[in-house]
Amino acid sequence: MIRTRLSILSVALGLMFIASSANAQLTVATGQKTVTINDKVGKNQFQWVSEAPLENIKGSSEGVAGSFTFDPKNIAGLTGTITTQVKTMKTGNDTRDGHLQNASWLDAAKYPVITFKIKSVKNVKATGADATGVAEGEFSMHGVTKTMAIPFKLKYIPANAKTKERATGDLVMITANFDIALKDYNVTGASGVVGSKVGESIKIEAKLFGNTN
Amino acid sequence: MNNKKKALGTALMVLAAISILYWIIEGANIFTATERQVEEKDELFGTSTMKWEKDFEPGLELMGPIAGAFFIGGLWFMYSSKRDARLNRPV
Repeated sequence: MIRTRLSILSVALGLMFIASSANAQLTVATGQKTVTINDKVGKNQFQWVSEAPLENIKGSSEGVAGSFTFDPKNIAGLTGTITTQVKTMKTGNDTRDGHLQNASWLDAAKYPVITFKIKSVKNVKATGADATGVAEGEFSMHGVTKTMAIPFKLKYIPANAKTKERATGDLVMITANFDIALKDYNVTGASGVVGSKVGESIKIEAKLFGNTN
Repeated sequence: MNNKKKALGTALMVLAAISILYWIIEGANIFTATERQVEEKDELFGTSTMKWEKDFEPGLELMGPIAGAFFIGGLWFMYSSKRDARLNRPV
């Protein structure tokens, strides 16, 4: 009886292992691909929300650039760099945008670019043209660089008649949600504002679109 | 004259209340917003992105002084109306 149960268990574990191995790769393409961020493929942007007791602020950053390289059969090997320009940040109010970019906040003149360098990817799960994983790398903002792990979703669309209307090659979309604590990056703002009018932590949603060449 | 002051005072108070109500309805923003985000569907990727559109949502820095001016004006006319009534009362 015990032997039967053990054999069932071992078969189940074997199947789970095979299933998990098969789910670590995309089945829509092969070979090393370099994806370049391209606004013709989709609207590249970082959407962010600051939630504070006195005010919730929604904003975006659209000067997104960069590229990443990966083999759809081995997403764990994905590496690349994504950047956004601080001066493209908007909140729907010109005065507040000016505050955001001045020396008290993100200091666009001194630190014009926010960068995320992807060094590796773990916990990859893939089904057909979609994959999820956690991108590990270095996030640099306001002159401070910290190691971050960002969960993401990837969608891969092989070139077809519809994709050609936007750009050449295969198209890729990456979405990611993560939080950033302002104090971790020495963003202090005007005295007493963080925590009351501006959230201590900013919620960010990245939507990145690119094409292979 | 006294009734006109009273009516004007009441009208200004109502305008102050309307200003505050308008500010609350428009989102109770601290800063005046000149643009707002609108969702844009992306059928190919089955997602949506946001785009900025021109808009006007008054903030506290604008509606605060306006509502305050209406309130103070209303208060002054109402006080003035009561003072006139007191002075004109037959002895």
